[in-house]
Amino acid sequence: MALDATEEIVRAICSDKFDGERYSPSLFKGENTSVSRLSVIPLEEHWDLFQKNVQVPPERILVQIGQIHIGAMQRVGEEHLTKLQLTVEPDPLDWNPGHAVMPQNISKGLSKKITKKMEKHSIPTHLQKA
Amino acid sequence: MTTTFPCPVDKTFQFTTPIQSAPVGCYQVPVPGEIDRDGLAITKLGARGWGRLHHFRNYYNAGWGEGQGKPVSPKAVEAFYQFLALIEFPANIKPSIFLTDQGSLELCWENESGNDIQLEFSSTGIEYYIESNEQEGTLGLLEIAELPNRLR
Repeated sequence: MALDATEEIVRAICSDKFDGERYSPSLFKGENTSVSRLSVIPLEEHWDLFQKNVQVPPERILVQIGQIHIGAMQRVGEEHLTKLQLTVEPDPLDWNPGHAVMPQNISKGLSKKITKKMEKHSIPTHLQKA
Repeated sequence: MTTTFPCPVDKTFQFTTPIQSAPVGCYQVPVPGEIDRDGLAITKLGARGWGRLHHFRNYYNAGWGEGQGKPVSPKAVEAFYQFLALIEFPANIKPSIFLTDQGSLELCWENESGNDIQLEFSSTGIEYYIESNEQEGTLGLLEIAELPNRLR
């Protein structure tokens, strides 16, 4: 069952998708894009969770977390050139009970618009590795 | 009074075995053209882009990320270098390079008018998006020579 439009979701932004200047247009591209629910795990705990589970290989560094309101994201999909009804489905994993997926096949153009709409959180100083 | 110095003794260093027959130390012989390619990547992408390309090619093995990431496609790399040799980026613009979960290489920059240009090099073709005219499409790997003209 799709999540309510009032929920907030986050996505890990790692160094393969952000080079300090630009974001990859494919951050959300494709089917079953992984996101995580802030109603299940608070943002502060996502840093540690993502650092432990998505930094593979070690050269892949978590640099930011992108946050977006599902309703706002759905409006981006509706206003896109080729309209797309975006939904977020819960898909809990062992390492992340808040894991969810976006089943639709998201194009590069729409992915870019969602990325632009997201609020980006930079990694807290105390969690940055020297 | 005069002092007689001792006769010089020949203490010149000599190799016990001739240099020519000594075993050559281990070193990696560069793949033909690899040095030229590195030079091309540094010139066109800058140190940051070159370093990222190096990382993607050498550290991102199958299963990277959350377990589904594919390694960089050698065909995509080949097409990527061919394109770099053909393209001239606007002055003072260093494009960004990204790796997709499917093992494609993405190249993004802005043209002189500030509009986005995005390319994705995969094992089967090159996907392009030109923001200024909302044009997008895919070219086959053999059509790469056409690409710079389309981006103008």
